[in-house]
Amino acid sequence: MSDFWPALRDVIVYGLPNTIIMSVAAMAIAVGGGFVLGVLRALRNKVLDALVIAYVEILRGIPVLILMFFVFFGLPQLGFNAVGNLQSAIIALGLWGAANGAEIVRGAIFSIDKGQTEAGLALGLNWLTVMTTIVLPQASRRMIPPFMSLFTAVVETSSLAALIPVRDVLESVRIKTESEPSLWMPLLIAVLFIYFFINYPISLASQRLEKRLA
Amino acid sequence: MAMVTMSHVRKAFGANEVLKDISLAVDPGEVCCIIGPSGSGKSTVLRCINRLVTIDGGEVTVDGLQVTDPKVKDVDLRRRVGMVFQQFNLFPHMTAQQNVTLAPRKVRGLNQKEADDLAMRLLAKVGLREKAQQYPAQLSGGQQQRVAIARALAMEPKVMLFDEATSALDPEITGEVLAVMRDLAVERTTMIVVTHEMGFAREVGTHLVFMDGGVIVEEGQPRAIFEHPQAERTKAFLSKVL
Repeated sequence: MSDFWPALRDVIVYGLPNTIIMSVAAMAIAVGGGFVLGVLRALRNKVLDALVIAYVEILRGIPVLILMFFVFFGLPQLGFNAVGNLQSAIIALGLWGAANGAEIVRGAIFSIDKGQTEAGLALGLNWLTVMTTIVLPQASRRMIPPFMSLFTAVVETSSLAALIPVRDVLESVRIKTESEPSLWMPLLIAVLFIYFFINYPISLASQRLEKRLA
Repeated sequence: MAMVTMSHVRKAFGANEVLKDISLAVDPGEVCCIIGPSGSGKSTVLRCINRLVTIDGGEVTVDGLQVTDPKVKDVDLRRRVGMVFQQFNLFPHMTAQQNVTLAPRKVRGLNQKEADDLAMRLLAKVGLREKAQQYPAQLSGGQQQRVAIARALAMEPKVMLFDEATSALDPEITGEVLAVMRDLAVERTTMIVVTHEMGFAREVGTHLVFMDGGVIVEEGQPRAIFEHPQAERTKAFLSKVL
């Protein structure tokens, strides 16, 4: 056990930053992409609807791990420039997150009473102004709780990147146990605590926001 | 020249024919009240005027603009038409004053100061000057609807549409909204009012339209229709509501 603390230190120093970078970057793509796709749905254009629905269903329908492998191993074979391990994981997680984000944004937009849009249009405002000054400000409050839970899901799912591999907390554990297999159990338990201490504050913040926005 | 004209307007939602051959003319300064049972197409008539609903056939003009002409921009049409909704539809994330200033700033291009001054003047007109900084949730239903009227007036429309403006209000506070509408009528604002308030239609209205089943059954002088309805359906309806 004397090896445990130095090993845990390495997991935190080398692994945790990548876990956090992946989660935050993927979440940024998820929020940005989700807004664009969700607002496109609000246009109620049949072609755009079909495209966005196809994207959302496909991305949500395939395992994130396969998506990561596809980006990392598959795309170079199709002639795309190879992207790094970390970048591949971020792209895959982000694309998956954006599909979920699109549903969050769409759901929140459509939950705003139609009368709000009608009142804005009747005043002579154009569609974009109605969306940005009337609908989205109200809808975005309703998006906060589901986006927070998406965030915790992204953090957890990012551990799949260990298989590319990306040196996240989980992969750091595996590296440490190559020379010291007895560290598996204590380090895995430590990793569970690490994830818990990332996600629990997000979850708490979400509950608090939910109460404040209610 | 009439401010609003409709000729042979038809509209169906799927298989449901909501308007069947509606023709109507409303002159400047008139208060045209539309009464009739629910589902008779009254609200749809209003929505055809500002393009919230696109019609299937016929013609609508507002202040000389052809509503069915695709070259006529939404904004040019809607600047001329103010609308007040049954559910108020105030923007809940904005104060009363912000509700009123939004469209003048974005559509009429007023600066913040001009828009604020206009809003205060209009809120004073509806008796809510001291509520300018309150949010809709802090106001009663009657106060919210008066803010909504001020918001519509801020576009300085040529005609005001009221879609059952008092139907969502408790009976004891409909009066404050009707009083504001009465003031507008006195100022000779052109108004088209879908209402269940027979007293208002009779005393303030200058033109009464009775609709049923997507057609105009009877129209004319309010007093004449209330006292001597001609059509059987009008008689049946009035005997129920009066």
